[in-house]
Amino acid sequence: MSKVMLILSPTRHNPKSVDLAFSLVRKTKRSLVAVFIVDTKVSDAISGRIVDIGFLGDRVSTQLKNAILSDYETRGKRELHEVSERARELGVECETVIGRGDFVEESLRIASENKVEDIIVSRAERSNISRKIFGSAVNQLLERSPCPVMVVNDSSVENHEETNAHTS
Amino acid sequence: MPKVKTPFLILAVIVTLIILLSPAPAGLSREGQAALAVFAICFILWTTGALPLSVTSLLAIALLPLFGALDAGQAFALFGNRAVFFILGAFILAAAMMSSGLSARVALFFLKRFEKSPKRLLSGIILSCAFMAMWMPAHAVAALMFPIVLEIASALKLEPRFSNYGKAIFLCMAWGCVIGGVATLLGGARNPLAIALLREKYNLAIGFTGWMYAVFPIPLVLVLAVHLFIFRFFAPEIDNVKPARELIESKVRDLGPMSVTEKKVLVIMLGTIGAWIGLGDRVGLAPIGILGASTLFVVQALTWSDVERYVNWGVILMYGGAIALAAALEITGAAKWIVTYVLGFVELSPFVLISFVALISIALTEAMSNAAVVALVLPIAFELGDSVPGVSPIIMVFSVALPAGLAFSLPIGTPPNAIAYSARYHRIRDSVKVGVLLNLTAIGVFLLVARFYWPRIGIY
Repeated sequence: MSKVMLILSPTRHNPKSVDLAFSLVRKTKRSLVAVFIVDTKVSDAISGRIVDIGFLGDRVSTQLKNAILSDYETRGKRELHEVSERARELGVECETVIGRGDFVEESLRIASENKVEDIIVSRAERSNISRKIFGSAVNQLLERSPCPVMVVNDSSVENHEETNAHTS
Repeated sequence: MPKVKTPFLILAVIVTLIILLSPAPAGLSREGQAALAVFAICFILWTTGALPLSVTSLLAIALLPLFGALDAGQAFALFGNRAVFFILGAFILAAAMMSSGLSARVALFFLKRFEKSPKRLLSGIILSCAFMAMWMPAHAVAALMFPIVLEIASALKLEPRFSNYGKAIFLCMAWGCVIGGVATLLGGARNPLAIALLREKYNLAIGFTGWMYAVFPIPLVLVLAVHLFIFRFFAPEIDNVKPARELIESKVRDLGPMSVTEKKVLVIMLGTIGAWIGLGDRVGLAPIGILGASTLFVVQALTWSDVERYVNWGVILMYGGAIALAAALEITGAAKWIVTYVLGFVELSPFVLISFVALISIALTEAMSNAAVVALVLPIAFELGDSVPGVSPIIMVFSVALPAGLAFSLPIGTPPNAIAYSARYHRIRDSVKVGVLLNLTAIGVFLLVARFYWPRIGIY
């Protein structure tokens, strides 16, 4: 059975992307691979900052990094459990995976291992200029992914903008 | 491995070469021009973070004699400034508090007294962070409190990014640390750095008690303002914090009774603070700090490997280099030249000058290290102050060092903000929305204090 991969991470979670994933797998009768990436770039950046600007030693930065990663992992397990429960209720075949490392590399590795045919990911609202200047992991994923990627723009709950899903 | 931002390095080199190779402008000596070139390179590297802060400082020490701004003996001698040793003593004392577990006990002691309701728990987080950041570096307090706050958020099942209470607890942690850090000379190393620059130029000093006495209204009002804004903009959506209470109580139980090492550290810490308050003006802050730190080893409350695990020695390079750069700007006349020839067309009243300097400092600190703000802005602020009758250099110290410590809006501003943001319970727009109001409140309170309180206590 061919597979659709839904990617979640601490900074990329939008209920609409989960809805879209279930709608797609049910319509096309495929199975779902739900992935939560524990993005170590964030924790590395923060612990580096503690050492560079805070002048605190490795012990403090390591404790901080571990606390961040452990929280992300707990959050990932919870979110994947919710997806898994929903799949069971809907009768959808679903596998869950927690990846730890660089968001793009881990996403591509898991996609390749599971031979997925479509990827669904969400991202926060930002201008294209900001993405160009500061970089965008989702843009990198779009460029490097061997299969189509659907991006759900993360419209905030506050402004109630519509989901803008597009296929790349 | 920290990322090196090559384009910024190239920019720094180009700007430095342009300054160095241009003909010396009217009124500026060759030495002053060389100091200005080092100032430019440090400004670019500290602002962009293209190199680690301490490496930029080290570079300044090497470039000052190399470009001919100072002779090598003079530049390296500034490394031995007493402020550097005061900061070192303070970091070692903080290391003892962390390694013995005393700091975690104090944090939980506070939280336990404020665990009854959601609003009281927020107050507990603000007050415990602010109190602890008065006695140890604010960054260390944030790093210590972060895992506890994360566990509280998890126990309360708060939804990251959507829960108001989730946003509030992390912002309260960061802002409590920021506010406490300005209250004493221990909360942020920028404060002793500013005093060191004051002593280098004017041979004046501000004591441990003198600092607290002069600034105490500011943290007091800001703590109230944080309560007001947090309750107004992030009204708790929960009415029960029982799981958090159980978590805190279980952590307190796990700590057990106070260990002998904790007791030793507590006694030495209290003794050192007492000596700073009682003897600091006569003996000096640095010898007391170093003596306190040494005593920890004598009573076997701390080992050298503990210190190495908790202190990054870049602190010495950072502050030694910053002092050397600031002194070079003053000695070579570069700071005076900037004020006379670059800013000379502006005529300012004392109050407008103080407001101007404070605004520049608070704006810069949102984008760069607060110690770097002090090192770059204070030498120029001193010259500005000298050019306006009725402004004392002590006022200039407060006008730069206090706003430089009050970064509320952006994660990049200061490590407590960055640490809080890493939990991803709030978005940048959440911290900016209320952080800007806190920045404005901070400036307002600072100006009221400068206008009405300081003249009453003899600071003009």
